[in-house]
Formats: sequence, structure tokens, C-alpha cells
Amino acid sequence: MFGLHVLDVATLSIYLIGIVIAGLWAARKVKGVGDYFMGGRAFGKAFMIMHSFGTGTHTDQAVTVAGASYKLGLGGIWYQWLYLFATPFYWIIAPIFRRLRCITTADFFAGRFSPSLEFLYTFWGLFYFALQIGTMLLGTGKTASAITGGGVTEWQAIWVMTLLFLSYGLLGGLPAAIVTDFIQGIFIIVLSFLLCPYVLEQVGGFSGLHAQVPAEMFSLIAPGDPPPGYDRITPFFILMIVINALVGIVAQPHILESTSAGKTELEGRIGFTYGNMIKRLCTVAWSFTGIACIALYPGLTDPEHAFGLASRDLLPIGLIGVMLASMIAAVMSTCDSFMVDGAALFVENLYKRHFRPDETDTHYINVGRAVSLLIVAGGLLVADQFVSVVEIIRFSWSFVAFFGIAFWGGIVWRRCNSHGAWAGILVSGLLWYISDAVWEWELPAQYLLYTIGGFAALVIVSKLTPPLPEEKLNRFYTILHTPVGEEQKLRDAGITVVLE
Amino acid sequence: MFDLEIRKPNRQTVIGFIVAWVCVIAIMVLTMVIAQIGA
Repeated sequence: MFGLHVLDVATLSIYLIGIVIAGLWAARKVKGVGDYFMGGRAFGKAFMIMHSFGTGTHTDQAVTVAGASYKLGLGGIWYQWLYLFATPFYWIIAPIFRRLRCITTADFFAGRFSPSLEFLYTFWGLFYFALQIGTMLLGTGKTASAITGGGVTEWQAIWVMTLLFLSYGLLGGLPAAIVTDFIQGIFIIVLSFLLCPYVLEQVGGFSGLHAQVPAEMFSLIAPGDPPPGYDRITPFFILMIVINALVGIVAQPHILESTSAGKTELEGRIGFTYGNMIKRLCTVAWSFTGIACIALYPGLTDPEHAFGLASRDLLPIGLIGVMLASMIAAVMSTCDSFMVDGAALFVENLYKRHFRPDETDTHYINVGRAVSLLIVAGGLLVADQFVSVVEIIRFSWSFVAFFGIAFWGGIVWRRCNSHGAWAGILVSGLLWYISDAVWEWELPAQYLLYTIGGFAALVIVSKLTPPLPEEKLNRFYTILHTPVGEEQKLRDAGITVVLE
Repeated sequence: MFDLEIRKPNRQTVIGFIVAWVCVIAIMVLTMVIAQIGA
């Protein structure tokens, strides 16, 4: 049935039905906009860890790292470890987001800078979410089709995944996403480690692996000429991707929600830091799976087929269903959150702000649901049009760093104004375009140029133009420096926030 | 001159930051150790 054994179909069905029931159960708690978009800021440490892990981890990452490790050896791990050395800083970043007491990152740009930057960020955020959802669904659809030997077509898999996360995500918003992420996170860990014992057994254990794979493939750097489509993995490459990650992570539109749905700052800190720490460990397993595939499948034309091929050939009956369920879990756990976050951007920063400011919560939630559908549909349409999805994703990595420059400027430097923030975004974007498309520099050199150029433009233009009104700055920094739980200080200062 | 809005970190921030670095280093070392098993 569908190219699968009946036991695999049964395993998959149990998972899919269970996840929808859990999502619908969580949906009962949604009473207002704050619940729908931010989970009422009521979640504890365990849920926050699994939510950060589930939202930040998806199937195509495992496939990409396994493929990169197949080509570059252990150095391929850096295609997901780009955030490894940035991870300890998440401990510091998480409370910043929680204290902002915003619903979306665009709220930050409105509160700290100007409506024009809020507008720009909102459109970028909607595009980012749609493209990411489309890319993930298409990528996983292809892998699922490969594992079932074509028994399930790419679009059948996409429709099943989409209908399932829509079924609970539209009703339950973020609470449903967080509750289901807890279960899906466990499946993602299974996805990561399930193949390891089977590929190792096939190559004769670690000693067999070393006998069949060249020694240089076990190095964390790969300084030689890279194959087409890959980069030279040097210490400079690693340094620059970490700096770029640190600058850009704050501007990824789902990060604020990932860190702010917890009860207190500590829940956000632990969830964001250690949810991602689990992901770093899983990445190790993806990489070694890819290295083992060098011995198992020498001469693969497309290295990103390695993970799917090994799953199909090595897993026993029953576990193929578990692997498929895990792959679907990894996609759904990200797509449901992205869909809700995208809807929040539209409702809070466009619809409520500019069109219908005085409607009921029910009205806004229903608009959010309609927009969620459009984001998913738009994502599938847009992603399907691109020939090179990898290029688009690399572009989005750089683009978040452009906004990250403005974000960090606004957080740490009082004198930074809207003109400076605009200059930082535009100049870094321009430098990226020139160094990439015209000069064709390698990735780390591009990162170095546009990061320095962007921050320099932000400082120079801010210094040359009038500062923002003191009253606006005082309000922003009072909120930022008031710990969660001490909101009475804000009320005493005459400051009201939408969702404490 | 730059009027930076950076405050002195509290105890939870400092300890948590150090622990997170320890975890990152442990993951790196673990990876390198695994890579050498059977060599």
C-alpha cells in the first residue's frame, strides 16, 4: 500500500491521527488574540525547549547536512552548525525578546524606529514565511516520494502534510503548535538517530567506516577546492558564518515568538538555548550518516539523495513508517508555527494597524486563519516557481542579517535612529549584491564586507541625522530594561503594553 | 560617546552563559572523539 508495508502504514497513521488529536485538544485553550498568536505567554520549560527545537529543525536540514558530509566529510556539518558558537548567546538574546513584550518582530521596528521600517519588515517576514513553508513542503514531498519508491507521489505527500497541520493550526494557533511540537520533537530526535546504527552496521562499524572512507573526511575543516555548490570550510568560513548568524538570528521573524511564549524570562532562555542545543547534537548524527553513505553509495550524482536512499534500503519494516512519520513531524512542527507567526505579522502590523483597528478578538483570529491559508498556498506557488531553492535560502540567510544590523543598533545604541537603521539595511544589502553577483566573492568575504559596511552606514547616518524623540526612546528602553514580573513599574511610569 | 544601552549582567545571565559555552564545547569534543573511534 503506497509502496509501504502495512505495518509502516499503520505506524504512520497512528502518528498522524495522534498529532491531530493533540493539536485539537490544545485548541480548546484559545480565548483571544494573545492566546492564538502568543499562547498566552503561559508555557513552561519543557514545552519551550521542544518548541524551539521543533520549530528550528526540519527534514531538509538533515538531508542537506548528510549530503554536504557526503561531499565534504565531517566539515559538511557546518551547514547546520553555523549557529553552534552563536548558541550560548541565545541565553542573552531570549530575555531581550521576552522583555520587549511584543507580539511580532515588526512591533519592535515600530516601537523603536518608525512605521516605514515596520512596513518593510512585515512584507519581508510574510515573504520569508511563505517561501520557507513552500520550500520545506516541496523538499520533504520529494524525499517521502523517494522513500516509498514513488508509491506516494510528491504532491500527495505535500497535501497530506498541509491538510494535517492546517487542521489543528488554524483552530489552535500557537498553543496547538507548541503542544504538537512536544510530540513532534521526540520524533525529530528519532529521525536523527534512527539510521545511525543501521548505516554503521552496514559498513562494518566505526573501524570499517575508517577503512573505507579517506581520513581527511573525518576533519571538521575542508580547506581544499570545494565541489560545485559547496564552500571551502576554513576557520575563516566558520568564524564568518557564526558572526553572520549572531547578527541575523534576531531578525528571523519566528524567533521572537519562539522565545516569548514562556511564562518568564527563564522559560524563554532555557527553551531557546537548550532546544537548539538538542538540534546541534542531532546534527552530529546527520553528518555521520552522510559520511557512512560515502562507503555505501559511492559516486552518487545528487548527494542529497543519500539520506533517503539509506532510509529506504537499510531500515526494517515498521521503522520506515517511523522514519516517514518523523520526517513529516519535522516539517509540520515548523510549518504550523511559521503559519501562525505569518498570520500574526499580517493581523498585528498591517490589518489592525492600517485597516480595522477596533474589531473583536474573534474577528482578528478569523482574519489570521484566512491569512494562514493564503501564506501556505502562496508559499507552495512561489517555491514551485524557483529553479534553485538553495539560492533563495542562502539569500534569506543574508537578508535576515541586514535586518539584524538594524535590530542590534536599536537595542544597544540609543542614538541609532530610523535613518541609520534604513541605511544599515540598504547599504548591507547593496554590498551583498555587489560582492555576490558582480565580484562573485566567496561567502565569508561577502559576510565580512556587508556586516562592517552595514554597521558603519548605521552609525554614520544616525550621527548625521536628528535623533529620535526622547519620549519615544525613554518608553522603549524602560520596557526593555524592566524584567518580566515587574510590570507594575511600567504601569507606574504610565506605560501600557498589549500583552505582558 | 556612544551612549550604549548595555547593563551589567545579573548572576543568572553570567552562569547560564558559561554553562551554555561548556555544553557547546562538550558537543564539539564529543564529535571529534566519535570521529576518531575505530581510526
